[in-house]
Amino acid sequence: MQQLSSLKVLLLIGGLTFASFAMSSDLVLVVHLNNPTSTLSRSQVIDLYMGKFVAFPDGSKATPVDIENDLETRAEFYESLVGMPLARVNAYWSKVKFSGRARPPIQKKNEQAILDFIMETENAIAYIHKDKVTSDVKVVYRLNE
Amino acid sequence: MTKCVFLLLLVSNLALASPEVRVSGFGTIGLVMTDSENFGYRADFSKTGGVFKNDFDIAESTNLGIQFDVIVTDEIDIVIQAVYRDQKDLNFNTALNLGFIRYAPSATWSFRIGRTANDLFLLTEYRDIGYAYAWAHVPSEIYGIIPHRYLDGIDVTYSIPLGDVMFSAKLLYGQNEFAVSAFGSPNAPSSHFDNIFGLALDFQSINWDIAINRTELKFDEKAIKPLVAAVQQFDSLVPNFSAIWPNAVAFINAADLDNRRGSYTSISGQYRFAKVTLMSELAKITTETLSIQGVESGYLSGIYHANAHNFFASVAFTQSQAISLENSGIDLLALAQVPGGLEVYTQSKILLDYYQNNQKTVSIGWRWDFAENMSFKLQVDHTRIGKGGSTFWQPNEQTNTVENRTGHVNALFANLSFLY
Repeated sequence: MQQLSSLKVLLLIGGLTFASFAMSSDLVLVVHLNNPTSTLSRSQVIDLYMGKFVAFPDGSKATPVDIENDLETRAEFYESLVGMPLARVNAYWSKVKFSGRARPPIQKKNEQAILDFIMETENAIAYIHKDKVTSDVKVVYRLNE
Repeated sequence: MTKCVFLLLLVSNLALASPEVRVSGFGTIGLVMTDSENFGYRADFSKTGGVFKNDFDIAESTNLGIQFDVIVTDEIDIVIQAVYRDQKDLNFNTALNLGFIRYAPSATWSFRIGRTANDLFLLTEYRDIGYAYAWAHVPSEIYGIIPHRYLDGIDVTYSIPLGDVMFSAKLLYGQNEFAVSAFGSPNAPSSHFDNIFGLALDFQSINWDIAINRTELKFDEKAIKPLVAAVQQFDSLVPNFSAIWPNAVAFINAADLDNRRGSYTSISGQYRFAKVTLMSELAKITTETLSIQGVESGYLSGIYHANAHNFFASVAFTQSQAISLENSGIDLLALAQVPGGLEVYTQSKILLDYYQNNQKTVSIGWRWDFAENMSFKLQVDHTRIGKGGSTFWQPNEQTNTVENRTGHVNALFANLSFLY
């Protein structure tokens, strides 16, 4: 009985799973217009950005892109996606990268550089604010979904 | 044939490519203090030093790593990583932690050849990356006894999403060597593992991970051959030796390490709540030799996340099968009359005790991520060492004992871990 109570306390402290704690955001995931992907699920975006399965649903390899000079946007993206602050995301990636398992996303300096890269790279995927979306890219996931 | 095709593909791609090189790294500056005059803390079995009461040690926990990622094409990259961790013998071979070429023709398949991180248990691949985990050190109960870092060989990984669960299976083959030391010896000679076959299965979802690791290997170790020969000589040359030391030859043959097989198995999992991560691992080592008796170990850890602050508590245990010479009917008075007899007896005892670990540790600690790539950690361990299981801990220089001892130790760790 005591053990059961302890478990309840633990669950209360832990609250819900972090899946349900993802923040809302006005960030969207965009790809090249020629990319056959029309939509992605949240778990697929997590797989892409956490190096678990870096491919689109049709199996073609993907090149995820992080924003380099805008920590606030990068922090917002990961907090919304996996419910972790940047330091924990970096801790996760240090485990994956320095064990030689996978490479982290490449970085582009700002949202314009990201848009330019997406327009010239068919297998790229990146997050930008929805008000920066142009007709030259395709939205495949919205963080506030 | 497979290797030839692989190398052909590689060379043809390398010739056409203009590689991009990325440089990054990691490190930890760590302070260790203990309250024991009798049990000297060390990070793992490769360490010859020990941290005793009134010591302020930075050698056990401090390291610095640098990694070069050479991206040749979309399919091929080369990873080279060197780590300084106060190795007993620092040279190119011991500093090189990773040095492999990867060919990944798709997201599903990946082939690596060269020196890879040894995927023996859950944390062995990144045990030196202090920034990667919440604690100040990986649990000594599982990882102290295995100082393994890398594997020279090949591996192939198959990854596939199964609904919302990511599944990956890795097959590996190779060999490795690593320094081992015990009982305060200033030397840490290399020990070799050969014919290493391993399988690592990973299931990862948004909130939980489960990993199963199984490795089978052969010990390629001739260091105890002189001891085996000495006992065999006693048996053939000393009259009535079987009465002095019953079954001596059978014992030493069973204790021989060379060409004997061993298996390393672990199952681990973690679950991430919004504010709490729970993780646990159970590991088991079984061998065909008495020199490394079966070891069972594990830990359970809970980490409470409060933005940049993480508070954790862990319990860990390890227990080895105890095999003692003391109850095996050896006539020590008679053995003392045999020139070299007691020395061989003592060496045999050391051999049996070499991997004897029997202890439990309770840890509490705090990790503060004061920058996106820097963290400060403070951890206190309370360890109780049970009967016949203290080899992880160094004896002090005054006693320099090779006997296993019981007792308890409190240890304080303060680490600054960083990425660059």
